[in-house]
Amino acid sequence: MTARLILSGLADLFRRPSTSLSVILGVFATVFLCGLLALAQVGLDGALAKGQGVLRFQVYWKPGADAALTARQMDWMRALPGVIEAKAFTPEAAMAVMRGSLGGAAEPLLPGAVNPLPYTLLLGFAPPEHDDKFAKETLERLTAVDGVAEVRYNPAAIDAARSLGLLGAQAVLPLGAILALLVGLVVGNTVRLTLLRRREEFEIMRLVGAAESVIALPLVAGAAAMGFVGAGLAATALAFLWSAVAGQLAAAPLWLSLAAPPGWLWISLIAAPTAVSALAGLAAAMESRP
Amino acid sequence: MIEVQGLRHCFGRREVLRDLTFSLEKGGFAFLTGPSGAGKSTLLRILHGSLPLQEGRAVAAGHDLVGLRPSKLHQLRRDVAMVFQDFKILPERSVADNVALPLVVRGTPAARIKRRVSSALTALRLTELANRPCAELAGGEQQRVAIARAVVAGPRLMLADEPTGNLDWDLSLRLLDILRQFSAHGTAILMATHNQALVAAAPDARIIRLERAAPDAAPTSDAADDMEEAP
Repeated sequence: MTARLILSGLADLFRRPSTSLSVILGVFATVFLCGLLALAQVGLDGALAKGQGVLRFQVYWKPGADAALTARQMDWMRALPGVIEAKAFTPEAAMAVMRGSLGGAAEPLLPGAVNPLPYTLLLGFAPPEHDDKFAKETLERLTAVDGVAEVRYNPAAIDAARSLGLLGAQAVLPLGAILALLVGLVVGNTVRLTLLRRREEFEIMRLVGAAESVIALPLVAGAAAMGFVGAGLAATALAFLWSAVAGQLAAAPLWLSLAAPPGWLWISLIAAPTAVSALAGLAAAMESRP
Repeated sequence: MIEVQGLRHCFGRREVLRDLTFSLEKGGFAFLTGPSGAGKSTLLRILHGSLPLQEGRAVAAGHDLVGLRPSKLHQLRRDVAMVFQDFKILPERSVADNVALPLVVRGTPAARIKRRVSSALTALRLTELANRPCAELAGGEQQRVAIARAVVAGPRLMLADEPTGNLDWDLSLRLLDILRQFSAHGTAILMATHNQALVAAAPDARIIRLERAAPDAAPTSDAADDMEEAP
């Protein structure tokens, strides 16, 4: 019986194809616009976090430090909690980079026999939230390593990372709430008002002995199907758009690589409008009661 | 099949039914007659659960209407079918779909629906119109669709509100004959009509005559019918 009612709700969509199509297009347009804003926010957030949200320490060893010991110390540092990037320079590698940058002009400044450049390691950390002492403690840990001459870091970087966290809390969440509200209002009301045009039909069904569930279940199924199709089409269009835009941004002159939007975002883009539509179908059934 | 005792119904201050008592047995056939405003439609709507029972007692097809809960209304309507004055059919759907509706909402298997719809269409001579949308039918044809829909599920009680109002004399007689046949098969039928000639055509049928409520209760007027039809 339940399966038959669900199928009858789906069959109803084809009985009024123009109405169903207009609802699907309404859901599509709303979800597409909201999804576009959400993807733009996620992309911007990801790009900012990638560029600014890393706390970097540059570690310098004393000149003439033992190579084997320094290599072991570098491995220990790479394994520290929170390290997300590490780039090491041996004196020879640093000299090669310098020669490459300065060319022949560097020769008088860089005597060939003794290399004055130290071992260095650039460490990038993702600072944990709500840990004000992280930078200071990390600095002390790195400075305490035997053979390390100096550790430099930009104290402003931790503030930038914190600001990004704040941006997430203050901008992304309200934006998400507004988008959810928009989807709820537009999709929900479109579906509900469309279904309420069938009020007379529901009344007749009740008059011939239909239980409320017999009226509600096909409505919920049909509404959910319209929401699913509209949102699915919007998500598909957004996926194509994202891949095209990401390809453009990854090329010259921007070379901006965007991280793929998280899976939960795609699932939300489809599941939320589907659920809202189903609820609107239920609301329409309840509202049509005499 | 119908037991009514001391039934009273008012629309606002206007009393439409007063102290009405009657019964109708299984397979019985009765005309409900009376002038406009006497409460014929009101009584049918009370027995069909579309209007609440205000005072008195009424049992229709075994369903006690006193304190009938909305969640149980569909059970009453599966046993008590009604033919409405304004048909209440779905105009965009086909004749067969309309007739099948009471069976569809009950979850009847498809093969059985097909069989019963076919025999209802045959009985009402609608077979050739089975696939036509009801919006394309004449008033008399739509009336027959409404009757076919009422009989298709084999109700224990059928209430008919002026079912011959849109039919010519020959069709009215044929409809009366069809309803008598259903009655002979055990369905109790209560049929409201103004048509005295039709009443005279079935001399063995019972007649339940309603009169307008006495003027001491409230002023009577021709607006009474409109009030009865108010949702």
